[in-house]
Amino acid sequence: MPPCLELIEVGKTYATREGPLTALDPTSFEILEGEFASLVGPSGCGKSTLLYMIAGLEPPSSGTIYLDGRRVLRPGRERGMVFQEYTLFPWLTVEENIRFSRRLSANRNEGDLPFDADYSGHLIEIMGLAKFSRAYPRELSGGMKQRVAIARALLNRPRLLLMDEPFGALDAQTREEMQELMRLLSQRERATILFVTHDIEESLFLSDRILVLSAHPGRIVREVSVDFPKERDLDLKLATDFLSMKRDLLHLLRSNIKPAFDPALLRSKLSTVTPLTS
Amino acid sequence: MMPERNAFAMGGALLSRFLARSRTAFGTTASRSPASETRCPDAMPAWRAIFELRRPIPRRIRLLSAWLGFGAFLLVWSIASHYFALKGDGILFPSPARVIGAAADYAGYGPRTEQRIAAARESAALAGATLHQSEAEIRAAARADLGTLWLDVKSSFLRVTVAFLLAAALGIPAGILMGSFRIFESLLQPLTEFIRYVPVPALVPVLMLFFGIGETSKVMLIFAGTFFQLALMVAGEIRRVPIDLLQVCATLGGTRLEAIRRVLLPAALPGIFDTLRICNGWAWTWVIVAEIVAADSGLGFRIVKYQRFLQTDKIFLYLIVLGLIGLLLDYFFRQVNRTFFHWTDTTKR
Ligand SMILES: Nc1ncnc2c1ncn2[C@@H]1O[C@H](COP(=O)(O)OP(=O)(O)OP(=O)(O)O)[C@@H](O)[C@H]1O
Ligand SMILES: [Mg+2]
Repeated sequence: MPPCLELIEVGKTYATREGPLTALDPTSFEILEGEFASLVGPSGCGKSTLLYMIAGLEPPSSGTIYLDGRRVLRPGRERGMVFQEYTLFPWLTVEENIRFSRRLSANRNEGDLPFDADYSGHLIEIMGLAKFSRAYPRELSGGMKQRVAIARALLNRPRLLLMDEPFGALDAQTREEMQELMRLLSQRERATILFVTHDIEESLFLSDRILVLSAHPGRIVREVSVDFPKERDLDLKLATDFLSMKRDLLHLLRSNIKPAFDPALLRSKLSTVTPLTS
Repeated sequence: MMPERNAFAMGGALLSRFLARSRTAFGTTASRSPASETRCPDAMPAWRAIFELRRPIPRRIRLLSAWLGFGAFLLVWSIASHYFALKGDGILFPSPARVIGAAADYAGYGPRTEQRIAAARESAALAGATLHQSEAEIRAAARADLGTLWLDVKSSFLRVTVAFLLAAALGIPAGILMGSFRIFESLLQPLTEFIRYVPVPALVPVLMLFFGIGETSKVMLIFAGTFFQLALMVAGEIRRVPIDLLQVCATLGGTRLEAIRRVLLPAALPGIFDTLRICNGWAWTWVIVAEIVAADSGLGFRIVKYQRFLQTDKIFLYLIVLGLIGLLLDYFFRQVNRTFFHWTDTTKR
């Protein structure tokens, strides 16, 4: 299969008041068509930065990004994005939010796209939003908001869907529901997805391939193929080989993170403090 | 002393009965938030609930305190006018009753009208002739003042509205440009900030030299007093729109113009509308300044005229009219805002 997305030595350095700050070391990888790939890494390692560069929202400091062989220079409708924060348009209803892209000239007269009311209806339906299609974002729960954001991005039929920790703000239960939904969606809509998370379990459950980033500044330290069957349900998370992969990846991540404190040091310090007695 | 103490005791009893009744209302308000549910609202004395931080209070208490505010204002006013009356300067500071009297005069039944009728009768009786001016004619003459008031309201309103619409028509686009593009911000913002701090009344002499003492100079004064503020505030509203929403639009294929039209504008519109409300208030301030300087009609002009004739009761009446106009316009803008931009309602239900 041809690569859909190709990154060659893409790095990012921010100019800050304290001088240049390298958020991401030069990084190269490819995403294949129809693939569900995950970027995993600790907080602050440059995952969002990387995704924003691919989306064209942030220029890379070095290297080049190609989508279908064309260089990425600016944002475009072929790269949809679901953001880490809630980003619905508060003045539009759920349905209007999902159909937002149709008001844009770039998406009109696109004969090859199934731009009919059916598709938005279909998305609203499978996202379980039918009852809320006329509701405003403020009336929605966090999970619903992210489902609307996903539907909004999907309606455009992007070549590549970028997702930046879309379930980060959700509670554990809703999160698992959304993971299951996302897995089903990616199968049914045959989307190519680059998914960012710091949750290893989430990435294992969802992905065909995982790219592990090291701690700040980010750099790809390992690439893992996930060969579970295409059809997955949440029970997979309890399977032995799932758990062993999870353990391996967790150890890899931990060995890459500089701990915020040294447990031994903390223990010795705490022993000199008189404990609080009730 | 006794009756007064009784009155106090009665007032206290009434108040506590009132509060006891409103406690039920509190229960329902408070039970919406789980935290207060566990604290059991019934155990909290009502007076403490009133002084909870940012907690809504029952409608009855809200209305009561609004009236209380006005009542206190009237009381202070009465005391002040009594003080002036004691000094012998009663004419300078009218009591509330005299202002109400002036209002009645506008309807043809006030003390000033009655005085005139009585005087006319007296002189007619002295001369042994019929009334020089019939009673109906005197009342009609008094009512003519109402026509003057209406004319003043109309001409002030017209000046404000023309200038305000002009300021909005130019200020909103300028603000959108400044808020959307950094280049326009650095081009226009420092200049606008500078001009904004030039006190508007200082412009009166040059405006009169440029545009004469006609309508143009008044409209230009109001325009100068609102345009720059409006543009800056609109720019601020545009800048307050989260950048994420623009990024969403871009990743969906939106162009720059579409981002302005489809995202920045609708997102900032409630704020822009609120800015218009505030600027309209300022426009009313500047129209009075303009009319005090030079005019032949308008509320500000009339106030100066009444000052010359020491008709302070009429001045107060005009001040009340000005306050009412402000209140009405404010209400209008807020109501429009609430109707069109209900999505900004952040209260949880
Ligand atoms: N606009 C910016 N200016 C300066 N530094 C930035 C900027 N954006 C990000 N950074 C820095 O770049 C690094 C990577 O940030 P990024 O947001 O990509 O991390 P992340 O992996 O997405 O983290 P998280 O999982 O917490 O979202 C951080 O150290 C951050 O401080
Ligand atoms: Mg991030």
